Amino acid sequence: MIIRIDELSDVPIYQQIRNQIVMGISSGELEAGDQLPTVRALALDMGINTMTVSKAYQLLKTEGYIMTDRKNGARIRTEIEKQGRISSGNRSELKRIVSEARISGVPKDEIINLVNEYYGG
Amino acid sequence: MSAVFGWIMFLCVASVLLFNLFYMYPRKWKDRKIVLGVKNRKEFKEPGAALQIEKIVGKAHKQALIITGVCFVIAASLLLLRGLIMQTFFWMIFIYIVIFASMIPYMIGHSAVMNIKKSLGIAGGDGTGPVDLKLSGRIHALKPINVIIPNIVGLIPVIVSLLFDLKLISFGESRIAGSFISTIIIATFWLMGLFITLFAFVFDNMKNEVISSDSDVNANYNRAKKKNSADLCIRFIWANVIYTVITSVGLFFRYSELLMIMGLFVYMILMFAAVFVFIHFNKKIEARYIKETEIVTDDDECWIAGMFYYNPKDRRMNVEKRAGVGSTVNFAHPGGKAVGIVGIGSIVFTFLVLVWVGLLESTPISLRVLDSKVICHQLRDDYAIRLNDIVSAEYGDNIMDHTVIRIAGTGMETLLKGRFSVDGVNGCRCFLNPQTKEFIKIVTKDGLIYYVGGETAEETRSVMNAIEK
Repeated sequence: MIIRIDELSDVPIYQQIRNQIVMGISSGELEAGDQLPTVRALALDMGINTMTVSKAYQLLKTEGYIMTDRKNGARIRTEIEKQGRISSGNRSELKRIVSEARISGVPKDEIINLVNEYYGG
Repeated sequence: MSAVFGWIMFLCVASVLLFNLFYMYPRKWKDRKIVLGVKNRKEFKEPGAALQIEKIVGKAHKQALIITGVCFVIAASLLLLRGLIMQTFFWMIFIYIVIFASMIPYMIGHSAVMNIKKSLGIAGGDGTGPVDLKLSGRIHALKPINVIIPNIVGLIPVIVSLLFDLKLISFGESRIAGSFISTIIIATFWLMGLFITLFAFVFDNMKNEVISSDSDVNANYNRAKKKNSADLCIRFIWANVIYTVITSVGLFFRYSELLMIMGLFVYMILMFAAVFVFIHFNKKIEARYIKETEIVTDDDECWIAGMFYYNPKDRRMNVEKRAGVGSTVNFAHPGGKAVGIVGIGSIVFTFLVLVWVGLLESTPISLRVLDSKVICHQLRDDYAIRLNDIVSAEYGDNIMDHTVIRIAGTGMETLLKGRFSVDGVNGCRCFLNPQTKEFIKIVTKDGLIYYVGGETAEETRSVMNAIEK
């Protein structure tokens, strides 16, 4: 599971880490129970502050994607809560992406194909 | 002994030159991860660029070959020098020249390859690359027990030597027992082993490189590299232990400087052999994984002249070297800056020491009686012995008939100055030119023993007459 940080992006680094871990869980690259690196190790490898990684892990924990404990560190949750709906934030993000694609002349099928690819099945 | 020293230095320089020539200036660059300090990439292997790089690499190899040849001739001519101090002085200067000169084609070639990279439109990266979440902080190849055992084994000769110097144990008639010479030598090598152990852990904790989107490939690649580094450190530590054991046996039963230099010579051969084994496996690992490399983290811009790493965005202090073997520091890191200052400081210090030693060798010693004191003078008054304090004074014909072993101070072919062990008596103060064989043995009221002499026999005799009066 490779994660890349775009320093020129407007998206904060902790959010980028969080997003890529979520995408990793969704694609199956990160499986339930998989151990995540320690805050210090990941911060050192990425060349960022430990607080940034800690914030990303905190966010993932709050959202229910990972669990942390003193003994085992951070792990992907075995039971991730399935809400069965898109959050309002993601809904507006999706709307923005679809709108931009429409303006750019991207055919609807291509968007649907992409959704199928990312969603799987 | 100076001839042995010359040959040791010659072999050291020859090994460094040959290592540089074949490892840093390879003809077959396509299988290498780094080409003259620039990361190898698929764009370089496209016909147009490949031809240009082929020329640059060939030219650098040719230049390095010429420099190596010239350095070999100079090194061979240095073998003709006589006098240990003179030899040390010229060899030290020559080693610095060799290090710099052998890097010139590398720096020129590096600049040329960087220009090709720019002309290909490859934008320079800032060294921040992807991170493999499954690797981060997890890939280790060093088993602590493998470095702990040799260090414990190496501690045995240190303890035995300490007991020997404290005269709690003895190995027959030894003239150096109590001088702590053996303990200092053996403990120094044991501490070097500890230092290498520290490096072993630094290598083992170095940043994992991401070369593929497949975590297994990344894990195997990094594990192989770390295993090779760990093995190098373990071999170094064992070589240290072997040297300390052999040296301690030699020191306990027969003290001979020639024997120690020969031991050092064998030790260095072991070290070079370990480095060559490391290089061999490193090349094999690179050749094996270059085919699977699909991700290249571009940090070429962070390598000044392809050698010195300066990357403020990298929080690590240690990174793998591009030129040579082992690791180097990130000079943007506070620790790296400190290492840089210490490095420059040690070079300056080496030259200052050489100048000081040169002064000591070229300044004649002087022994005279002034204001009811025996004054031993060279650059400054080293000893001033009151005539009233002298209990006994004996005139000796030849200092070479005695066993004089340096404990602390200067021991040169033309000067013995400082604390010495003379005929097994430790703590004697010497101020002699051994080339002038005559000396005076002075014992003072406080129990101190001095062996002093002048630059000439007449000078020594006149002081002896003054003491007798």
